Amino acid sequence: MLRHSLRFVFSLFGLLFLTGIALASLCVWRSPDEDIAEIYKADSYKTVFQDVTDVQRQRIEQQLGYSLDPDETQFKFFPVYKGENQIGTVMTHAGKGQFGVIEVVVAVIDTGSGAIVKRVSIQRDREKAKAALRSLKFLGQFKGMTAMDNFTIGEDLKPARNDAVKSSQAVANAVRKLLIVYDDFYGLKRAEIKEKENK
Amino acid sequence: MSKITKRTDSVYLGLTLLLLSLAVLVSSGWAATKVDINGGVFPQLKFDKEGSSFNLMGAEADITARITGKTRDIATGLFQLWAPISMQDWTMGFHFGQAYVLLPLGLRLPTIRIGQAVIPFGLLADYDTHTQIVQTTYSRTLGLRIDPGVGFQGQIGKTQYAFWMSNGNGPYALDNNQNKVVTGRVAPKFLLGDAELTLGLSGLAGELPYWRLDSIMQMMDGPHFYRMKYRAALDNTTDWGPATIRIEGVLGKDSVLSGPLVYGYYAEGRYAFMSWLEALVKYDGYHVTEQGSYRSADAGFVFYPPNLTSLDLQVIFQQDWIKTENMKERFWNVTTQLTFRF
Repeated sequence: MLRHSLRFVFSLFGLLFLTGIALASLCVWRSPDEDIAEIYKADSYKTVFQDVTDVQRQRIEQQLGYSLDPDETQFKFFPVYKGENQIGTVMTHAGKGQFGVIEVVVAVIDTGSGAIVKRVSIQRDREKAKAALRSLKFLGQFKGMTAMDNFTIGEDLKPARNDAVKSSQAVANAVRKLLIVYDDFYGLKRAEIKEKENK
Repeated sequence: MSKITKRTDSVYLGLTLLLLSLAVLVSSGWAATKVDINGGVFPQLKFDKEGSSFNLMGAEADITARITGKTRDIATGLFQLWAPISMQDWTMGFHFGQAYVLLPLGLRLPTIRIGQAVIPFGLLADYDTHTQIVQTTYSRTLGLRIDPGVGFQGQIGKTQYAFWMSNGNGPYALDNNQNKVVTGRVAPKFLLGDAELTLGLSGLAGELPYWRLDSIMQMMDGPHFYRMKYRAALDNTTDWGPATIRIEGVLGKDSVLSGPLVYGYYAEGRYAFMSWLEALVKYDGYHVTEQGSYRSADAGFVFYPPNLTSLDLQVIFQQDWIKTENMKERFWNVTTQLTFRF
């Protein structure tokens, strides 16, 4: 039985390495219906999983100024629709706060030259300042921000509470990372389309 | 042809037509598919009064296939493959064997689930126990965790709901009777200061595997009897800052509603000292009138490496007590498990 088990495990890893299948970071979108109704008043959404290539990883990490987590090899995008028109995109991220994982939901609008934040919410966390972290006073600061803005807590952004700087920064980092990732996936695609049109 | 066979044929015919329709949608170019592989490996090191042992508690690959249309998800299929691990047949079915299709009907509408899935009873609905050393009382209160069936789930505002009608025989087993297990749960969620609470109310009725407390240690051999079980449960999950509390109370009857009372309880507390270290304590029990009780207490730690959400190391001390007319046993173990999800 042990031999079978080991064979399975080695086969599985072999399969993963040979096919280059993405190891996904593990953040689900827990309440899409409620979020979509609140944020966009939309009709539908769909799930798009995108694998990060090595070239993309380098580009994203350069812009971030630090490495992606080892398990961030795939990102999830949830385009949101009113009728047949896409009116926004939702993304999720699981990052480490002071006491555990903070699951952040970021809703963006594509302006044509990059994504801007429509709303940020937290779907699960284990922080002491839970209510402050989820307050409009803290999360409302992110509205309208782009990947080019300053996300440092204590500078342009205020912490949720004075004793929650670390967890506030974890949320800010998640929002910035998702904006950079979105722009890399969809901004570059836009540029390619524009280039083709010009040709 | 018996009624059961006719009914089963109809269900299979319906499923086949549904899958064919989805295949037509995909091949027509109206819908797109995406397949992902996730999974996990859970090796364990265990010490008990008989010595130490190293075993592979679990190794699985979860294949998820999504079919999406232009503006919405059409279907998601999940198929859990697992290694022939060092666990006995019946108890393995507690943890592995999920295989189902989710069909979302649209925004603010329920999602239909068809296949083998976790029964949405009590904490099981939200708490994925299959990667944990600590387990809730489902093996004693229900006799199974994963069961083939059909149901729906969804959310109205902050309240989740789920309904599941299943065979009551566990995964990969033919239905051995005409009786179906019916399970329902509603669970509102709300924020109270710095605490987020989910309160669940569940009900279940149907014929399920049955063991007397005297024979519960032979559970791994599989069920020898099936009995009608009626169960009601209240559960609560509270994330209160770094503390997570899970509580469940189960009350029920076996065989008939006038039969002997059974009850179970489960309380688990976790406290994160920092993002990479969490302490855990748990106490649970299952009592059957005129038979006795099975109680269990656990304590330990969970380590989460920084910058990774897919790895943890659990170290848990477990103490169990069984007390019936014919036996009085107490046993312990210390288990270390590395959980690697990908």
